[in-house]
Amino acid sequence: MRRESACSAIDSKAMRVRTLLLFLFLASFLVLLLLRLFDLQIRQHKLLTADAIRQQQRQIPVLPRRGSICDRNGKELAISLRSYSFFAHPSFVQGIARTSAKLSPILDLSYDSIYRKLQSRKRFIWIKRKVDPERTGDFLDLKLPGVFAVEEAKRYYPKQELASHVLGFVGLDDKGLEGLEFSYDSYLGRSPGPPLGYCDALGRVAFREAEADMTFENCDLILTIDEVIQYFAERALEKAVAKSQAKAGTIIVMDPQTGQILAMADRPTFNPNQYRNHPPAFWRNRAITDSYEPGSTFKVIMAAGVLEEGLLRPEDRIYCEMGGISLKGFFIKDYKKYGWLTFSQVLENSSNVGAIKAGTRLGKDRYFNYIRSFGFGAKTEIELPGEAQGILREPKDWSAISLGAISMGQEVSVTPIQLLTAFCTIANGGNLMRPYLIKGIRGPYGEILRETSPRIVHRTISPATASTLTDILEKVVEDGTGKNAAIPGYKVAGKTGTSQKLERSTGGYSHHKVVASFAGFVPAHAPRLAILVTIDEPKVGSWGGALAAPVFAEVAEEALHYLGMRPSEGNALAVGGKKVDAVAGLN
Amino acid sequence: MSQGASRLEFFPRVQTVSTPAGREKARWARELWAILLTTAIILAGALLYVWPHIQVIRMGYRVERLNAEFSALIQEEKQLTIRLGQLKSLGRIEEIARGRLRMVDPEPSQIIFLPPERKPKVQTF
Repeated sequence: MRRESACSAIDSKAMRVRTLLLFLFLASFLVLLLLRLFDLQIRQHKLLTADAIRQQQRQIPVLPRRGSICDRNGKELAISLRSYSFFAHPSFVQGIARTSAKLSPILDLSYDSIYRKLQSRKRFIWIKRKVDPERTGDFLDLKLPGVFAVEEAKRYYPKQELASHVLGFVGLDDKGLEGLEFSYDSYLGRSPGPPLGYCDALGRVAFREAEADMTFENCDLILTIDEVIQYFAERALEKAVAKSQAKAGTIIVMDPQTGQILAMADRPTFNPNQYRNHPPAFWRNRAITDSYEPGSTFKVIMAAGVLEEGLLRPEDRIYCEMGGISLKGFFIKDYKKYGWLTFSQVLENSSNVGAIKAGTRLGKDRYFNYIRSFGFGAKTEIELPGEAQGILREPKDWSAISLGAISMGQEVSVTPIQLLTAFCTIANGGNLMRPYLIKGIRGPYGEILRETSPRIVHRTISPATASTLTDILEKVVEDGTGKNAAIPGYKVAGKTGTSQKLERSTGGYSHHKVVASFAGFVPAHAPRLAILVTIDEPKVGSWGGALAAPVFAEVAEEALHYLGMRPSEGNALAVGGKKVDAVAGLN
Repeated sequence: MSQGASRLEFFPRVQTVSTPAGREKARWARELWAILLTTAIILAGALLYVWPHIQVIRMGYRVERLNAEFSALIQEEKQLTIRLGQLKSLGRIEEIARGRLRMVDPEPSQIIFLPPERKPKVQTF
């Protein structure tokens, strides 16, 4: 027993020693660990944290998706998609011939052009930019050394030429270069900057910082443009310009009550998807950038002043000198020889002599004030870049014949948008409205960020004067020079204009180059549409009443039908060949 | 032993002999168990601390996958929108109507104006 006890004591002692050794070993190991931990966590904290951030944190490439541009009914007119741009480091390319042959069908480029590019001594070359993503899969399968693809956004205009001058276009870097794409670039093409994300050892993004989505959605623009009315306008203008072999043409359709632009088009036009295939002159939005002498359409401004000041009534008679009048050495002629005409008939027949005599009664300063009050000589502040303000000289700079010349629309230069805005003033009862194209801006999550409200700039003429003038303009279409603008079932008010252009070589007015125009609104006393048509330098025909007025009628009629505006007269329509009164049962 | 078995003890009784060596062994055994338990608790605490971090990373990968999927779907939707816009282009429709279907403009007498639709009272943009 004693021996057993002694043995047990020895075992116990040995075990204690072993345990102590183990403890010491573990303790020293732990101390070492703690020291290392102290070293890593405290002493080298800053250095290692910086290293870790450098290794894990990366700037995640985010492709900002440019906002869409939609018409007033939400139909997309401009939209962005992801695409791929191909580039190469020529020094790393193995087998230029083989690479060129393989890339040619994928990129839809000729073998020679790729071959030439790859032979370059540059360190970096673009092979083709903005290729549709469907083709990229084939490229990835090839695994061509030295050739790479990078993601980029590509802008599409699904309606091709439609409203191209309003929309504008973007460059290769996705920045707006023209039109609304340019002026609203800050809303459409905001770039968030590369957000930070955290990657694992394999380079996979483990997680990214808050709000750093894969794609960055921008704001959408909602326009006042109506795709359908825009189409009517473009189609009619295209036909008229082609038929008259004109150099150019412009049409604007506006809601006179609000100042909303419903359509705006120019000819020649361009396809914004391939804007570089068209000369830069085609990109210009003539409706706002080009000013011209408006000719007889400007007589309406003179008439508004004369009526507002009570200097003449529509029935007051003016002697029109049987076709011509001498003005300080210049002889001004009428199209026809007129004797006595009422003031209303002066406008109906677009008598220059009558206009000069009426304008003279108004006087320089008052006339100038009315011109300014109608918005001429200043920008309308429409949201498009490059707007011209026209040319309107101060009365002190007017010559002896200026008052007469301006009364018939010469010596003054206006943009189409200014002229139509002035006609809208008459149409809506005397308020000058600010024309606008942006109905609203929609945020990335569908929220409405901004909604544009109609803005009255100021009252220009009284409602009574506007109404009287509308009656006169109605007669222009019923009995005067604007008969071709008449639309069955609707009362149209408008004014024709045919202005000679200045000949740069002679400094005088050209006998061949004219701008034929028509401006009007419909229905006359409750207008929904105001339209201006200008045909620049037509070769076949020259009169505004013959060239521009039919375009007005075509567009206005189709647009009124589209808007569901019933004819104000001749309501007896035929159904199935049988006439019924006011489409019984449908009211 | 029978007395020991009837008691509910946390640590197993290794040897409850009354000899000093037995008592010593039993004490060591208890201490060993205490160390193991402490270690287990520390490990569990560490795991508890690490677990959410691992979960965050796993969720991060999942979010990335879903983001990529979402982005692809958006791309597809935009592509379809473009295609739809092209197909519904008024010029194209008119061309088909006039050319292929031989449709013509209606006579003024054939146009019937329907009463305006009653629009729902929702704010449209």
